[in-house]
Amino acid sequence: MSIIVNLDVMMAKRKISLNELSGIVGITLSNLSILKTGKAKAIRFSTLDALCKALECQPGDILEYRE
Amino acid sequence: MNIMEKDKTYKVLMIISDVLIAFLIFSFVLSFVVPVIISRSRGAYDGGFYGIPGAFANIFGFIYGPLLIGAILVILLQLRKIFISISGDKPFEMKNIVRVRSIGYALLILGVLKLSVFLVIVLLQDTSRQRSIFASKFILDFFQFLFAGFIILVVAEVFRLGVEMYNENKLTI
Repeated sequence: MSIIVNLDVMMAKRKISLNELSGIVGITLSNLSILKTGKAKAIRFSTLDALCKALECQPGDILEYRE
Repeated sequence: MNIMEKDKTYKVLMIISDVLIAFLIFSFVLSFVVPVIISRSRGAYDGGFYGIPGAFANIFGFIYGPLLIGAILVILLQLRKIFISISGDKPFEMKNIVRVRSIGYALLILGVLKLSVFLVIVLLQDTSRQRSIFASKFILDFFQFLFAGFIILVVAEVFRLGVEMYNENKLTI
């Protein structure tokens, strides 16, 4: 897939762990791990909204398109 | 359906399938033994298989019975495995698609088996009266099995699409 998820980059910038992010956003650790490792097939807008709110960033900071 | 009712239902289904499988295994063994006993007790020219004369009848009976029971046994065993996966809350897996397809193919084989019996009877019966009596018994049997087999194969394809959608949904965060 050409969509890259840069969640680990944003987490490092905001100095937040996967556990903490899971608690704030309300997504299970396993699902966040699936997202972080690029195994996810799709993401809901509600999830993207929660992540952007928690990491104080734009969707483009988390998602990147690479050919 | 709550968990208690679901457990009870699956337990009943498992018991029924276990009893049927045990009966079929017994019949499977018997299907090898019975033609031998009949041919020894009555001799070669007794028309032992639906009026078909000679040793051919005994050979055919020796093949037909085990194949028929074997196909039904395959269906029951696959159904049992599907029950186990459903009771473990894992119905949407590729293995179940393979099992449903196996059931469909087993039904098609049963239909072909019935068709072969029909053709053998028509070709090898001694008299036209015998042919009409016994052929009429089989003429619709094979169609029913073929029809059921095709329906199950179509259901397996729909189930496969369901599994793909389920897996995609599982990876949607």
